[in-house]
Amino acid sequence: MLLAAARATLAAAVLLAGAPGAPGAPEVCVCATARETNAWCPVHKLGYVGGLELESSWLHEAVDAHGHDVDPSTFTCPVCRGALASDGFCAEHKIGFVHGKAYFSKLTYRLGQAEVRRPADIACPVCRKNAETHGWCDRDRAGMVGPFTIRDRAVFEQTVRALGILELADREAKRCQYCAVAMITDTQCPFCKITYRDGKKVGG
Amino acid sequence: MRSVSRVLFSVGILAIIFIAAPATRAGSHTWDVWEVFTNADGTVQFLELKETNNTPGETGLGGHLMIAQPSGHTYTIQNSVVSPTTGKSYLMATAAFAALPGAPVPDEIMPANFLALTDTSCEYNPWDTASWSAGALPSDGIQSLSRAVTNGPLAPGVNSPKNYAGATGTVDASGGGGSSALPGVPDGVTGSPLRVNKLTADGSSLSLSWDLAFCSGELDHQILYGQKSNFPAVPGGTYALLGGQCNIGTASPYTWTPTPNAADGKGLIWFLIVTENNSGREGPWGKWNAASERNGPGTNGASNVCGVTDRDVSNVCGH
Repeated sequence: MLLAAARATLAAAVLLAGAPGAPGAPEVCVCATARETNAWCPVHKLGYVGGLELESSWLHEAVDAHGHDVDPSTFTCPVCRGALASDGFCAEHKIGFVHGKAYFSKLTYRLGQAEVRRPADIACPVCRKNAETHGWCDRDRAGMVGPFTIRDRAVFEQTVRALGILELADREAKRCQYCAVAMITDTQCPFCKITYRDGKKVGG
Repeated sequence: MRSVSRVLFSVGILAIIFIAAPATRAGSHTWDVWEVFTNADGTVQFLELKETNNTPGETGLGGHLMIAQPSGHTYTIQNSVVSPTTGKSYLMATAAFAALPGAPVPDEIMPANFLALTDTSCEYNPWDTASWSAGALPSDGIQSLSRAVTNGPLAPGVNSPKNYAGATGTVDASGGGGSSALPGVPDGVTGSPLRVNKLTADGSSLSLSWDLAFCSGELDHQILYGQKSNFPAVPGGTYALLGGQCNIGTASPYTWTPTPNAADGKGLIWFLIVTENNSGREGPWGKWNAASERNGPGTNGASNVCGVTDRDVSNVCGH
């Protein structure tokens, strides 16, 4: 018997036109729920993170507003693997995990851990007021960062600080969006050569 | 005798849609710098990114910067892609790379000399940086630096660029444009001999091991095989062939499954492993006596299988 000489070589058929995000897909306003879901509204060109309204879509994407569904087996860093198992944060890779979902910023990692409450569901008037921006309620021992409830005071303070940096970065994005991302990632803007730490310029 | 099923050709359609960098951002965090390559003069270069966390929505590549250091060269990624991105690669390469035989079609063309030979890192800003020691970036036109695991170290090896459609290949940018002399595969007279282990009782699966350390310059290998009636009629004559197992790569051992069956009723299959350059040229077959090369039916004794049309026996290593 003779072996047919050739082997099939090309079998991959990739049909992508109908995939999410494809050109021509209708854009839908998500403003009604965007504040509670850290979403970006493609119609009105604004988004939310921790109740903060952002104008820079680049920054909204960079802060990783709603996390990633990832394959746990792809993480080889021991700290990342430990964080995956314990809903922790890997400082080296700046990735936090909540219920197997990865967040590529400390801010959204903290928000991912928080309880979301709509204003109508908040009985405490102080907390309801705090949810308009952010604030701590001594009576309920709860902090509100927009609609996100954080019950650990230290974590709340860290989250508010990170949100402040994000607010500054959103303003900076009007001048340079790469600086804005460098501000929230403690890195250097590749164009302006400005290095940021905790939202502030360092050096030179 | 074991029966062999015919292998059917399958035809696929590759439809890849790249979209311009969008105003509405999509994910872009989980891409890593996976492989970097340059030739000596920087005209042939490629950068391969890989989505490393098996995430489908990382489509927002467009607008992100690639940064080489310490040269400080930057390149802005031009395109975004459409989901699913899960585990895929994205290939940016120079026009000279795209023109080489064996090169997969780049997903976008980048300028030459983005990477300098003195560079020690390449960043996908701001999410991943691949670093290497000074002087470790190969420039022989064959070797690249690549990762094997997420966040893993870069290691040298034969280049293996892969594009978004999954097409891969190997290029020879060593200066010969694919004409570099290929070595032989050592037969034990030089280097270690080829060894064969039977993995199934009927021989339908074999494990082949050969010496990859003795010679250098291999880009790829193929198995050539024939049956008893394909032996030369006289010593020094021409070998006929039944076929070849193409592009088996540069890793040993190689598992050959399924092996072919003889059609002449003699129950004998012979085979040998030769080098090839993915540009239609193969290396030596080894000698049948102390002085004379075995020859196939093609130009300069080439096999004329696996797309090979010529053979070069000028590299004396391994045969």
